Amino acid sequence: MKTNATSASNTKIYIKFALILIASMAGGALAAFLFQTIASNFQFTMDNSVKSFMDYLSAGTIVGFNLIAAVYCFIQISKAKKLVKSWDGQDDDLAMEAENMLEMPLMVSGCSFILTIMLFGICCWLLLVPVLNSEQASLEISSMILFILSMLALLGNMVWTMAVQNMSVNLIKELNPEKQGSIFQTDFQKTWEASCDEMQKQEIYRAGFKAYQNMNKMCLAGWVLSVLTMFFFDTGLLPMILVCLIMLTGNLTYMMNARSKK
Amino acid sequence: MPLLNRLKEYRSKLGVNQAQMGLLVGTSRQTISQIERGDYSPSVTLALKIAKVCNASVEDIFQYEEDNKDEN
Repeated sequence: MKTNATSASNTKIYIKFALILIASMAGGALAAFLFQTIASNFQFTMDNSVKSFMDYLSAGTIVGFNLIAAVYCFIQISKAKKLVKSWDGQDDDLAMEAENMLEMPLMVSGCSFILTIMLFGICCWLLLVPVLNSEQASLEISSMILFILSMLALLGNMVWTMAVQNMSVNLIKELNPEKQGSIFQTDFQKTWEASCDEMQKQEIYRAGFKAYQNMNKMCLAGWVLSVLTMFFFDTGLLPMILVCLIMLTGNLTYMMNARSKK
Repeated sequence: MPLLNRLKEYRSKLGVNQAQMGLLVGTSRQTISQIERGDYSPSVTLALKIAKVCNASVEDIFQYEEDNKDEN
């Protein structure tokens, strides 16, 4: 009876899997058709006024974004710092409120670094590539100023994100004296993890597994997009290879660590 | 969460806060807080340590209640 039930259940799973495969193939064909239509009607050229606007926009975005994110993080940290200083070691709710307040600066500073290096890449592409491709004889003064500004924003980002993370970690350590490590240590993550107890480790591992799952989904979407743009927008093999390498790294790391240690 | 607990009650009897309770059982204040809120089920080792510190049995502090969903 049990075998029949398992077999029926497996058949359902196979049918569902086959339907997903067919739907994915149909979706892929539709996406290819759409990309072909777009590519045949699309020519990526920018006249000088649009390019100039894009130059200012990209440099303005990297500077503006960093200013807003940094101000927000420092305000949150100063609020949390006030709470931590007023904590007498007894009020459990106040400690939890301070910890919750520190979560956002940590997340914003972590994400802002990734967004900043992406925006810096866009700035380089807009400002430097025309000169490197000899479309422009030399870098105009305005472009040079914008490039220097974006580079300063990148350096500034590194400084403020480290300051925010250092201040947050120190405040967390004040609330939880058992926590060890400094963000300036090369093995900070290892030291921090070692000082965590069973519940905190479980949270870290759960978050890590969720990140792995989402990374796999994003990589698959990235692979589809990179293959389509490779065919229709001549983006070359590199994006697709990079996506596969990231996915391979994630999967190999997961599989190697998931093996039972005998 | 089918694991109910009376940790907060026992901690009050001991007259210690979450951080002190954490020190007594060798865990963090955050873990004690999560256990009390029912957001975390401790390991057997930690449950035994808590019971020892509270001078009670594990069953006095933690009660497992069958989930209704399991019965259907």
